[in-house]
Amino acid sequence: MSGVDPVVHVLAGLDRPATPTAQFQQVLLDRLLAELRPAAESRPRINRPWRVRLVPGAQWRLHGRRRIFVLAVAVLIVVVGAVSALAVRALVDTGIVGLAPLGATPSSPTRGELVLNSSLGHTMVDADAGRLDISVYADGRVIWRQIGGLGFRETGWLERRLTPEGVALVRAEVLATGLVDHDLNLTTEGHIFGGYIDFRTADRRVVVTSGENPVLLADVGPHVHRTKPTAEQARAFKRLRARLSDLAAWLPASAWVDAEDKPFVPSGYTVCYGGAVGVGLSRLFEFLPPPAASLLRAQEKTPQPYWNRPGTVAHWCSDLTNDEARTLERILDEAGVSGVKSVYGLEYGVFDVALAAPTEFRVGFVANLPDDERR
Amino acid sequence: MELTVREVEALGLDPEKFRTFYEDALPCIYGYFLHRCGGSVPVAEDLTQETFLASVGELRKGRRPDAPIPWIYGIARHKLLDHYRKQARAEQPLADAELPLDESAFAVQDDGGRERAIAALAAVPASQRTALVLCYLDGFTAAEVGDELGKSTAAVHSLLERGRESFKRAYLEVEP
Repeated sequence: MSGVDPVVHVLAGLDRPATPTAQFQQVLLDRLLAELRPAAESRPRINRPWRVRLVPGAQWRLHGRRRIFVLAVAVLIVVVGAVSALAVRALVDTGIVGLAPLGATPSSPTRGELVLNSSLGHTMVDADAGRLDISVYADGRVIWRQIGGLGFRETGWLERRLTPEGVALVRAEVLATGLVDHDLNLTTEGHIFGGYIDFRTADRRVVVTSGENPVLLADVGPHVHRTKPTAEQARAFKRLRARLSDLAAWLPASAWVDAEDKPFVPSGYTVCYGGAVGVGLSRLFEFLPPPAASLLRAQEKTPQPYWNRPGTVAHWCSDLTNDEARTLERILDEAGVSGVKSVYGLEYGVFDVALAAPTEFRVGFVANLPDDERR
Repeated sequence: MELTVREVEALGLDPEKFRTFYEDALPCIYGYFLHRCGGSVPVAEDLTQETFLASVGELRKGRRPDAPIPWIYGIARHKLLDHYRKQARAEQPLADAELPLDESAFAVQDDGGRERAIAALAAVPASQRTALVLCYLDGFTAAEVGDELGKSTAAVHSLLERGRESFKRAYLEVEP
């Protein structure tokens, strides 16, 4: 070959800085500074397993010994509730932080048939609304969480319960959008949220994706031609997003078995683990505390072949029961592995395996939801 | 890759230091993604956000990079590769194009062809695009790319060859 291929010249000329919108710059900076702040203020590494606040509006008008007695009973109730994880009458801000506490009753039934599974967000075009993940099951359960977003509370998985009528109303609302007549693959033009709507009926499944975020689209995206949403579709998309994010605002009281959010207690955890570039599974197990390696090795159910390379979440996975997960947590704690509890679950080791040193590793716990497809 | 930004000596948790770092790094990282992802603003924003959040996560875990800008470029590259990998999973297998390519129609473009080139790069199959980007934009050798992707050097050369062909085809198909 006598010369350099012109493609090389064209590509080499592409690289140059670019300036995002001022709004994006500011929103992201605010979020990053907020993320930095807790560390700078030496926030305790491990949070309380449940974050609760008292029912608002409860006024103490009792006096004297009766008040002391009532207070003592209340304290006892709170203590017993916390220990047995039955403090469900308190309003829960965030759901479970870390793993389900000992004694917490898993959501029932263990398995559920999906009616709707949707994850919509992030876009910063209008404002950062974060991401809403929501699943509605035929048995009435609504399991949802809010991730990020300015002005939104960030939650772990929370659960409410609909009546059959409520499920039918949600189903009708989705159908009324006209978005789920057939699979759609939409761009985000028209400022619709990126993500997907996976809608099920007895005889069909329709998946609507929007945006270009492959994290969301790779697993569920229909292989249909990508189109720009019509104005009507964009409106319907936004409306559905708003309706799903606030079901209580439009569903009648009769639609609910229990409209109050409670922490979703999983029946088990998928625990995924990975190491530095080039570290295979057998080598990785050598770096883990031996009891942890034994536990994970016994339950390994990696869904598909993974291999370790940079830029990927190189990992293998094991399915653990809640008890096994808590045992693994204790093993890692006792071994002095650095861990962080959050509404997303529990993570030990390095933040990003792509940046790991040769003997470093990451172990992440993610709650299992009632539908098989997420497992 | 030439850096036009200054690097702070050591990036800590000082908000002011971080703000300076952010102002320096943001255009680089955003541009890095924008030009490698078809000029898509939402994708560039998402990946930029993920990159900076990952950097903050590392800082909170006590990592103190001596050279923050190359460090965050490293994070960005990993995010980009992850993005491409997921795109590759979503792509339908494509048969190699059989149509002959008119090589003479492809020429080095001036700045006016820039948007066309960005669109063409986005149309290249993800595995080939990964090789093109790592070799021709990020400046890695084929052997280094092979190490990164878990492929032989010969396999990377094959990807590059097919990638260049795909890029040319896509470039010629894009409306000038």
